[in-house]
Amino acid sequence: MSLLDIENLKVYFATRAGIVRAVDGVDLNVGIGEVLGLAGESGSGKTTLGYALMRVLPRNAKLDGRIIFEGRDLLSFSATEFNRVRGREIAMVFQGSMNSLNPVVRVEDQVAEPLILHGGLSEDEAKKRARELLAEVGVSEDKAKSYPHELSGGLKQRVAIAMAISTRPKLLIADEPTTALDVVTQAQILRLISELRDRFGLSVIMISHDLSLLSEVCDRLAIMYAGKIVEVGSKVEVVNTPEHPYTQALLASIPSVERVGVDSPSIPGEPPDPINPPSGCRFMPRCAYARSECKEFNGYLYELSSTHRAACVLVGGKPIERVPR
Amino acid sequence: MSAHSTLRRYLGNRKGSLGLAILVVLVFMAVLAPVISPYKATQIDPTAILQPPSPKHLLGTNEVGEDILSLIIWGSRISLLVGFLATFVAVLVGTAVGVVAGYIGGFTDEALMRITDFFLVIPAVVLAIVVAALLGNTLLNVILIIGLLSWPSTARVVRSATLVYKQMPFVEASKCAGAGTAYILRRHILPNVLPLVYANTSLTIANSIFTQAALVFLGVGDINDISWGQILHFAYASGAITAGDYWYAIPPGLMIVVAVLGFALTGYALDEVLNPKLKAGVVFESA
Amino acid sequence: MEVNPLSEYLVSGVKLTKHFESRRSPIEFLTGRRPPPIRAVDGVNIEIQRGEILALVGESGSGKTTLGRLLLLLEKPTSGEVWFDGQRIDNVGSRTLRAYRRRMQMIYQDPYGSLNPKLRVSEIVSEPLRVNGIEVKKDRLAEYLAVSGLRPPEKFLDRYPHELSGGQRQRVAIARAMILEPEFVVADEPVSMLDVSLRSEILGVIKRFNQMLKTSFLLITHDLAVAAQVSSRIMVMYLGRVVEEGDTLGVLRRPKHPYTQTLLSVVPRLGGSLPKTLPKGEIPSAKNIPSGCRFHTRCAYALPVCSTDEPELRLVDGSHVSCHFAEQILSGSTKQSTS
Repeated sequence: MSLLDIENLKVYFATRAGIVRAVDGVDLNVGIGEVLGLAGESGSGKTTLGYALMRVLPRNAKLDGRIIFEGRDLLSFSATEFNRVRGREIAMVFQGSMNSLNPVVRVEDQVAEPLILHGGLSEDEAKKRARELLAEVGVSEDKAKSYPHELSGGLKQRVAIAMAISTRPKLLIADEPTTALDVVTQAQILRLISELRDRFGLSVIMISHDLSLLSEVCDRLAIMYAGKIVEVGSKVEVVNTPEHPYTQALLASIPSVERVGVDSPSIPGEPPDPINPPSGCRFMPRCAYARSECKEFNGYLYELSSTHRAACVLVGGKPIERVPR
Repeated sequence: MSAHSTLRRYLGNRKGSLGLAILVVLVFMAVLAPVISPYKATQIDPTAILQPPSPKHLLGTNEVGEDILSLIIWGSRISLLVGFLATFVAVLVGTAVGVVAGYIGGFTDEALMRITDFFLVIPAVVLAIVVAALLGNTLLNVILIIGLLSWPSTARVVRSATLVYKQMPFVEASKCAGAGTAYILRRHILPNVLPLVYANTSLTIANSIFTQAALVFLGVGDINDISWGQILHFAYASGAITAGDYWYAIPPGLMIVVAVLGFALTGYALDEVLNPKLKAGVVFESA
Repeated sequence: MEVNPLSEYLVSGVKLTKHFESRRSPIEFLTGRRPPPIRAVDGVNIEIQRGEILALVGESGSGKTTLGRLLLLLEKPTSGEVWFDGQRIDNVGSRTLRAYRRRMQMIYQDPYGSLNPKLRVSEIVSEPLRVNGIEVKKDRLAEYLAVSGLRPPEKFLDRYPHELSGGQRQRVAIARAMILEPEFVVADEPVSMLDVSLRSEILGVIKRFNQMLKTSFLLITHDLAVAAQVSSRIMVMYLGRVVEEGDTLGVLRRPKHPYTQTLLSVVPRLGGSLPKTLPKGEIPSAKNIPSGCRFHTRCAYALPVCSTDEPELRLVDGSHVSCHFAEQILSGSTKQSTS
C-alpha cells in the first residue's frame, strides 16, 4: 500500500538566467515500511525533490503537481496546515545536518528541545524521552551528555537521526546520510536506518549519488536524470536487468573492488543545462543507442513488470534491436 | 563574479543606490564648486551680516557677511579630500599590517596586533589634538593623523580574512609549486581579501569626514581652510549657535550627517554585494 | 621491515613519526599538566618505487593524510627520516627544500578549496611554471588540460572555477599538479567528494599521467574500490601504524589483517547487502591509543595476548601483516567472537 504518491511533480526556480527545471514531472510512490533509493548525479534534482516533499524551498521556487500523503494532497495545504505535517509526519535528515547541531548545547538537550516546544512534554519528560531516542539510535547515555564537538561524525549523524525520528514520523527522507563519513561508519549508519524501518515500520526515501550503497539497503530504486525519473523498479530489477541506457551507464561507471586494475567506463559528456534541456529524451545527447525517435520522446515510463518501469523508446512500443551508435 | 554582474547586484540594493546617489551629488558639488556656488566662498556682503535665508542668500549669511550656501559648497572640497586621503593612508597601512600579521603569524602577528589594539583603544580625538599640537596645525598633518588613527579596523578585518585564506588548499598548492611568500600574498591572499577592504574603506571615509569635522570644530587643523567643520566652528565661536541662528549651524551639520550616511550606506551595500557569505544563509520558507 | 634508503626507491620514509600537541583543557592549564599528544603517525616505514601507484588506505584518524604530508615535508616529522631520490630531505634548509618541492606535488580532496576563485583556469594551471621562471606556452597548458579530460581545452582556459563542475575543477587541479612533470605526487582523497559515476574517470586521469610521465603516486583513500582500480600496491593504516601492505590483488583477494577484512566487507557492492558483522564502535582517538594491538578493541578475533603485545609487521602469504593470528585467520582456524 502506498504511503506517498507523487504525481507529475514539478519544481521550477526562476533565476536571472532563466527558469531552472530542477524537477520536471516526477511520478513516484513509496509504500509503507519501504526503503526507496533515489539515485542520480549532482544536479539531477534528487535533493530538490526531497526539499519539495518537505516544502522547504527558496522563495523563487514554484511547485506544481500532486503530493498525496495518506490520501491527502499536501500541495493543497496552506503553510500553516503543512506545519503540522513537516517534521511530524514527514521528517528529513538533511545533507550535513550533523554539522548543524548547536555547538554550545548538550546533544540530549538539543534532542529534547523540540519535544518541549512542539511535543508539549515537560522538561523532565522531554529529557527522559531524548535519552530513550538517543539510545534507540545507538548513542550511549554518557555520550548523550556531550557537546557536538566532542562527538565523532558518525555519532553526530546518529543524533541528527534521533532528532528527525523524535516525532515518530511515517516517512523519513535521508539526503546523502553518509557522505563525509568513513566506510565503516557509513555501514553502521545504513544499518541503523534499516533497523529503524524494521522496528517502527518507517518508510524511507534515501537520496544518494552512490547506487551501490543504495542497492545494499533499499527495496526499490529510482534513477533520476535531469529532473526526470528514467527508471524505477525493485532493487534486483534495476541492478540486474537495467533497461534505461542511463541506468546501465551509471551502473557500469561505479568503481568496484571486484575490478582490479580495470577502469570503469564513464558516461561521456556532461549533464544537460537545466534551463535549456534537450527536447525529447534528455539523455539522448550522451546515449550510445540514440536514434531519431528519441527527439520526440515524451519521457513516458513504460511498464516492464508490475514494479519495473523505464522511460526509453527502446523499451516501449515495438522492440528495436539495440545497436550502439 | 564579473564586474558587470557586481554592479547590477549593487544597484539592485536599495541602501546601495541611495548611498551612491548621495556620493555622486557630493562629488559633483566639490568638483563643480566654482560653477554652482552663487558667490566666491570668501566674498563678503557688507550689507548682509548674519542674515536669515533670503532670495539673495538662500541659506543666509554669517557674522562677516559670507554666503552660507557658498561656504557649504566650497567646504565639501576639504571635507571630501580629507575623507579620501586619510582613508587612503588608513587602508594602505591597515591592509599591509593585516596581511602580514595574518600570513606570517607567530611573534610578528602578536606584535602587530598589540600595536593595533593600542590604536584601537586610545581616544582618537584626544590623541589627534596632542599630535597636531606637536607637529603643527596643517591640513596635511590632519590627514596623516586621521589616517594613522583609522587603520586598526581595516587591519583587523584583513587579518581575519587572511587567516581564512591562508588555510585554503590553493595557497598550499602554490607553495608546493615553489611560490614565495610575496607571490602568494599578491596573487592569492590580496585578491580575495580586497573585497572586504573595499566595503571597509567606505566606512573609514565616513569616519574620517566626521573626525575631521570634529577636529576642526575643536580648532585642530588650519582654521582658514573652509570645511563643514570649520563653518560649525565659527558658528559656535561667534555665538550664533547660542543666539539661535539656525541657518548658520544646521546646514553644515546636516551635510556632515548626509555625507557620513552616504558613505556608510555604500559601505554596507558593498559588503552585502561583495561578501555574500556575510548574509544570512539561504532563506527557506514554505512554498 | 628494514629500509635501505639508498635503494631503488624514489621516496621513502624511515620510522616516520608525527605527534601533534593537543590543546590543553582549562583544568590541564591550571594544573600545569600537558595533555597526551595526538600520535597521528607512529613509526611508519614506507617506500614508493619509481612509477608506481601506492594506495594508502584507512579511515579518517588513521594518520594516512599526515603520512602523505610528511613525505612532502608539508609537515615536519617529530622523528624519522624522509628520503627522496637518494637524498635525505627532512633536515635540509628551506632553499634546498624549495628545489625539491617542484619535483613533488599534491592533489587535494576538496576541488572547491583547491582553486583560487579569482583566477582563470589558464592562470591556475600555468602558475607552477611562472613561479619557477619557466616560459608558459599555451600549447603546453592545452595539452595538460586535454590529458586531464577537459576537451577541447581552449573552451576552459578562460573560465573561472565557479563556472566549472566539481569533476572539472578536480581535473584542473590535477593538470596544475602535473604541469611541472613532478616525479612524486600525493593525491589525498582525490575523488571522495565527487559523484561515484565520475570517480573512475578521474582515477583514469591519474593513471594516464602515471604512464605518460612515469610519476609515482601515493593515492590516499578510504575506499578500497578506488585503490583497486589504479594502484599496484596497497598499504593499510590504522591509528598511526601500518597493519597490512602488499600487492593490490593479494590484499583485496586474500586480506590477512582483520582490519583490512573489515574495510573490504563494508565497501558497498552493487546488489549486495550490508555485512552481517560490523566492528564495534569507531576508531579510537589518537590521543589515547589502545595497548597491544591497536585494533584489538574492535577486532572480532581478539584474544588476551592482543591487548598486551603489539604485533610486528611480518611477511605472511606475500603481504606484510601486523597480526598475531594472521595465519590462523587466513586458514579459517580461528573463530570470530560474536560482535
